[in-house]
Amino acid sequence: MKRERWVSGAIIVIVVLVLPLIFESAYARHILVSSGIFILLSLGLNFIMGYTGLTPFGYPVFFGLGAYTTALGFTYLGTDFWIGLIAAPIVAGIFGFLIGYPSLRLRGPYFAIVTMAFSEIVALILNNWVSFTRGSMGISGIPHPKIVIPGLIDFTFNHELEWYYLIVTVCAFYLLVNWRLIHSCAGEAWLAIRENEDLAEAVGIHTFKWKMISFVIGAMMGGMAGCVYAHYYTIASPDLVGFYYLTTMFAMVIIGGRGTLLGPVLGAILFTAAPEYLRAAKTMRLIIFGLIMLLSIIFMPQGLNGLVNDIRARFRRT
Amino acid sequence: MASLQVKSVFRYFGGVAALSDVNFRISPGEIVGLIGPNGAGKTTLFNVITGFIKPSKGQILYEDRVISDLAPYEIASLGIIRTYQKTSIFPALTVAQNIAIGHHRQSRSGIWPALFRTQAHHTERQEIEMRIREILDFLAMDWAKDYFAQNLSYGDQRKLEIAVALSARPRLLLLDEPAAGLNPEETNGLMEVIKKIQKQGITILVVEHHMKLVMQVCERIVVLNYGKKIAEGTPVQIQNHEEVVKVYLGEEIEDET
Repeated sequence: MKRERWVSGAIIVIVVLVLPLIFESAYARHILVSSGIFILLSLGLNFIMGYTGLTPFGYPVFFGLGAYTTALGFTYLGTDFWIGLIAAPIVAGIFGFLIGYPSLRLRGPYFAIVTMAFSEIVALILNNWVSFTRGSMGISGIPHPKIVIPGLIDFTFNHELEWYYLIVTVCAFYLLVNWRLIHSCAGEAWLAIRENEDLAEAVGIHTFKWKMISFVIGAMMGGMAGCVYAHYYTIASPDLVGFYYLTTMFAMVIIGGRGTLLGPVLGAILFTAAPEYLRAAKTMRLIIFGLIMLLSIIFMPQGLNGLVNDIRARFRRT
Repeated sequence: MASLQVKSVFRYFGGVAALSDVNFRISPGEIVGLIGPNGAGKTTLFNVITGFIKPSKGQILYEDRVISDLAPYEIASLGIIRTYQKTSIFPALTVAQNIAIGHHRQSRSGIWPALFRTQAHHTERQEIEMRIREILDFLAMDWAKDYFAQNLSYGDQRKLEIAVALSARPRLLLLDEPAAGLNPEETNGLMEVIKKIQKQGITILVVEHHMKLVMQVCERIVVLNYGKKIAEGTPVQIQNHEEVVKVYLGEEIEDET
């Protein structure tokens, strides 16, 4: 069993490392990189929604805040990607605390709607404080990351291939953090809240505190994803906080499979790649897309991850 | 020193007095039964004791300390652990995970030990693993360790509730109708379990409609009716108490005459 795990782990690592070398076109590699960015985002959302059972409709705000943190930092202070990578989650985490403090006292749909209201407030500020944020134009010209050691290395992540390996590294970091947090006493507190909040409180879990910690960590993950996004696409715009990203990231997590690590990864890849390939269908694209969503909710309530498990179980039995 | 003291507790819902002037105390190590017809306020009293509902008037004291202004998790962290009338478990998790959650309030390691997988984290996981085995052994449920809670039979789910509560190391255990829906055999098993729990030095307050269980297991019984305490005493005293017989056991006696 243990050996089986090592072998399958090694295969996955090799596939992930070799994958972009098989796809030679810049376009295919671009899809891989943007899938990676959405993997980060859906892992962050999944942390709050899948493991703690909260439904934060305002989640895109952290994505946007992360992107704007590094964008504004670059514009006004001249900071680079690496500083952004640390500053973005900190700023998103602080906002997570501020938004969480009033809204985490509510449950279910009330919580969902209140977080969405906060997200709307941030969107309005980003759109209308033109002198600071450049309004709906967004901030463009955010530079690609560089690694500079004077006299030794002067390297810029310009091409999709280089970006791919950068993203894979960040994804691996996210997965490690997620896995370790979930498989711990802290993780048990979150699962308890998701499964039965009253009982969790009755056995002595400070549910408000643990919901807050989960919300802030999820916000930080969203913020970091926003920073990576801004430096890859070289732009941060108020769209990031908008409805499009909200629906996309929720679809990724729900159809991928909530409360699992593989689910959001599969969901993110599917929902980044599928719309691209459906481009050929032109106007039918969104209709087909909606149909896929509808069918998958009816026939795969456990998401893609559940489908993978079913197939694996069938494979074992034979 | 009393374990638990309920001091002239009132609780109103709108104009209705769900509890009015309820007084009683529980000594350490006792098993006390709380009975009364449906709607007598038994579950409301449980909710007041565990902090899920605040009393309108009056106080709850635990080991001479006022607890009625604490949050539910704070009350639980003093060692007052409850179960629910309707089966309340963590359905999509395994039995082992359910019990591990009960252990959470004794957890010393938080986010950082989990992230960096420190020694503290590993020792704690081993402790929890041992505790899970201990509790499953105690309840004769070893076979169920890796089952998902939602896949257990109803009787085993009710047992799991007690396992979760025990894992939180209660000093005062509040059981809300633990025998509801159990068959006679399971009920007998439950009575044994309750007695075994008491032997560990845990004080128990149990709400129950199952008279055989209450009369055989409890040392003292408190009777509520329409939110008022109408009687308190040993099982024999309660069985012969005029008012209790009238409001609660009345039909049975009439049948006999």
